[in-house]
Amino acid sequence: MGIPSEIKSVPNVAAVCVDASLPWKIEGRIYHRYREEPMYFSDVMPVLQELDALCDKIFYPQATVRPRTFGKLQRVVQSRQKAAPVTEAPAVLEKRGKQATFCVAITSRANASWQGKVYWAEQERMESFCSERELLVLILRAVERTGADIEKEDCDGRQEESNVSGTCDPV
Amino acid sequence: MDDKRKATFLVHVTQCENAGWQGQVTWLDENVTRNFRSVLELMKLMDGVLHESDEEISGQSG
Repeated sequence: MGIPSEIKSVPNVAAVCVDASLPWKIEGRIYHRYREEPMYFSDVMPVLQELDALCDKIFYPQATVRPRTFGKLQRVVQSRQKAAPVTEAPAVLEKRGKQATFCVAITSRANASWQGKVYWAEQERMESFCSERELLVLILRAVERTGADIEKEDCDGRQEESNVSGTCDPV
Repeated sequence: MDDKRKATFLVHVTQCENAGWQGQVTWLDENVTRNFRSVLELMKLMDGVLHESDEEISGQSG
């Protein structure tokens, strides 16, 4: 099964490649059609900022509310010119993280939030999300599972190599 | 831009609608309160304080 068309066809589709993780923290790279070089991140906040800025840059999907700030005036930062893609979706979606890869497609931005679909490339699983919080929880839980699996594989591997029976020490 | 800017916020979550959080966030250093409609908006409000210059925040009229 390849990447579903409802992910591939969305102009803002982005590959969130997770290379390393700690509990509730991820590190990796983001690729999308409007960026030549990957954006490296070491926490979740830059992921949110990059994807939100991408939607603003290409006017898709349009935000349904004006952004709020602590400034006295509600400042609206919107570029007048729509960004042009520098690469095609297949080139973006072939990227892979060392730990996990999530292809994120934001299809609407209602309630000052995001709605869309996320596809976990390694597991070939797709989920819908109703908010950016839900997207983050999906990604972080999936990464946590992957991390646990890697830990278990490492542990099992060491046990096989040493051919010692007994309990598995945490790494 | 001052990357080392520090700030203190009081976050009051009053609702959990639309798979997100809604409530009020108060920037305690300036005693300014804003409503937020999602976690994204809350984070952007706080990030705006930490990464914008004083002129951008206080130099606006209205």
